[in-house]
Amino acid sequence: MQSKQWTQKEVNETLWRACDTFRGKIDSSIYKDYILVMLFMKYISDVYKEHYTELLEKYDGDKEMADRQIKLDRFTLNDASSFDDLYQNRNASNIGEIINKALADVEETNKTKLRGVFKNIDYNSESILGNTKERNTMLKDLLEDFSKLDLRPSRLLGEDVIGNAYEYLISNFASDAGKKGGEFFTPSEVSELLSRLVKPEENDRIYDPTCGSGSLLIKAFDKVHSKKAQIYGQERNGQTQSLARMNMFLHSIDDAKIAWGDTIANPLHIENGKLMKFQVVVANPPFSLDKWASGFSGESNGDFKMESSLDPYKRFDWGVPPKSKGDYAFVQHMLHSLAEGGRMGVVLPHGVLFRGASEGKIRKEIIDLNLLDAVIGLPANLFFGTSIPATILIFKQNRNRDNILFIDASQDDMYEKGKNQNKLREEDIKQIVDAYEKYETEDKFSYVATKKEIKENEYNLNIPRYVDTFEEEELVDLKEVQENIESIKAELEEVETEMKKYLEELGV
Amino acid sequence: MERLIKLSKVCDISAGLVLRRKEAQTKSEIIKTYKLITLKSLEDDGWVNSEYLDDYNSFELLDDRYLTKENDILIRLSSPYTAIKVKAEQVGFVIPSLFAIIRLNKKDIDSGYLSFVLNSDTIKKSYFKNAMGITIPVVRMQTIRETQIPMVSTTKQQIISKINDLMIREKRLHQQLTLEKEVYNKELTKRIIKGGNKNAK
Repeated sequence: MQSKQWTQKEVNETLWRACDTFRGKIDSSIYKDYILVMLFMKYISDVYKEHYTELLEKYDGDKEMADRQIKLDRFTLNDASSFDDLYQNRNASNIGEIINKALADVEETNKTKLRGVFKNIDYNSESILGNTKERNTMLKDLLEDFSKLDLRPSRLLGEDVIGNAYEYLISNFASDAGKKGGEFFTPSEVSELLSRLVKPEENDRIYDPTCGSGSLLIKAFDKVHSKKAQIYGQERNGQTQSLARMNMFLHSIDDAKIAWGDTIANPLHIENGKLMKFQVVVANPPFSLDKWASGFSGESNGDFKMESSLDPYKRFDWGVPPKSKGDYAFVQHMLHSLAEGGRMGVVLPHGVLFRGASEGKIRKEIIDLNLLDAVIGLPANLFFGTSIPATILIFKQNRNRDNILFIDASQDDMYEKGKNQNKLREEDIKQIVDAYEKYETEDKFSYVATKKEIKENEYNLNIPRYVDTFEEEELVDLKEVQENIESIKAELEEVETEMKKYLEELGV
Repeated sequence: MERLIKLSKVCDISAGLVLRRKEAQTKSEIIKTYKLITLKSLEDDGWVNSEYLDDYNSFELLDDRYLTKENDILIRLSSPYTAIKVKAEQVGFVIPSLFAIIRLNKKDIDSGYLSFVLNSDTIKKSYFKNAMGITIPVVRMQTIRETQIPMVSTTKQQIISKINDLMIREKRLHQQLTLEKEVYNKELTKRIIKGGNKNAK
């Protein structure tokens, strides 16, 4: 009998159903971690199990040889910390504790790759998962749900099923929970577009200073066919940073360096005391982050005012962004992290194109330094939990031109309308990427603006100033319209006379 | 004085087709593709807009009682309970269960007159009061059967039917006039702002 093969869709659906165990009991922003960690555990257990069986076959059942060989694998597992072992213990009264121990053991045996990945998760937490009885039932259900999945590589149809399933869950949780405070999960089509625009190449260092669960970095990495590129990321939220590390591991990017900390106040990718430089920098930073500089405030109380001198890396010399809008803080950080000849793409709210005051000054500096290469307006409602339209800015070091390309991709025929979210289709992504490659003016779609024009517009980059998308109105023949009006009036008169006649007949 | 008569006395009243029952699930099952009346195809003024008809694939030939016939009247079972008269060029369309089908069986009632009466506020209000359900109040078939219709002479019915046609035509003409006027005024505004153009057509 042929054994069952799991498709991407089936894996995704089974996982989403497994979430029913938690729904209604715990907030999805919390239980997502439990689900994602369990998926990780189940996957590495299944991979390990299959490989071990293969090795045993290869060495004619010589356990010692197989044991020795498997130690050379990407990762190793002890029998007591495998998913199967947890499943067998599903009725134990201390199952939460057993899972925690297993996770600690997985971390310990794979220190170099997974150290600290499970630091924020506690399957034995009474405050999150409830009292012992409730908690045990929930964990038992969870283990049973996952036991139905067979994630051995030979049983999965297609490549990277697990990585995609992981991404699927993350994006579904993002749409389920709705993020607060300007942090939005980047939809995969936007990540795809951004990574194609910055064209990562072999041996590039690729960096995302606000990497979240790492989806954008993975998309960018995928563009390097030889898979020879170094991934760097930083994320402020500890739990999300763990997710990013697991995500990298599941996508076989073992040497990704994902740091945990506030990128603005405490950038962690440092080389010789200076910010590390990268050939490719991508990001979808939190939109208009409030109190972005609070990491610099130290001991001060309430009256703290950010000054450029407070930053040892001198990132804010062009200007200090307003306290409540961190967009240009991230842009400046990224520009200071860009290597000679590097490419950078960043998703931002439209406000960055035209807001004045300090942001206007920073914009002017950036344009005068000839760093901005293109401004791309995206359709509204692409992100989960926010309907605001976003823009992608592309920057380059050492540009060989001094014009700026504007693309208005927000028009109705540039996306697929969805029930809750709009979506960029492959053809839309391609059209944008092609337009960027061509770097030409195209009627009602793109415009190559000269420095002079930008200056005339006082460095305001609002897209409608450059790309005119107004439809030419049809020429109206007044005489013809007048005639239509007269003929309608005449017909009306006819109707009224006829009506009068019938009404008289009726005697009304 | 005119007398009142129960609708069920002068017509056969039945419900439309529950689409799922005869719908082909796969291409190979399709025996015939019909045009289907949809809620969207029903204009509030009481006429069928053919632009909004859908296709309906059935796995058997449908009974004639589910297909429109000239002079049928269809009543929408949900608000605003619009009644429409089927014209000669609108026959053979599938009527879904969202509608009641009123098929005249007596010569002494005119379909134009009947649709005029059924579209009156008095009748619609009575349907609204008797409708069941909360989010989508649906009128019951029984309520429709018991609708009281004022009976007048056949000649009078025919005159009223013509008046009804004229009213619908008049309303559409007014809508057209508004649209044309809008275009006209917009163009005038443009020319006035430009400072006038004597050579304009």
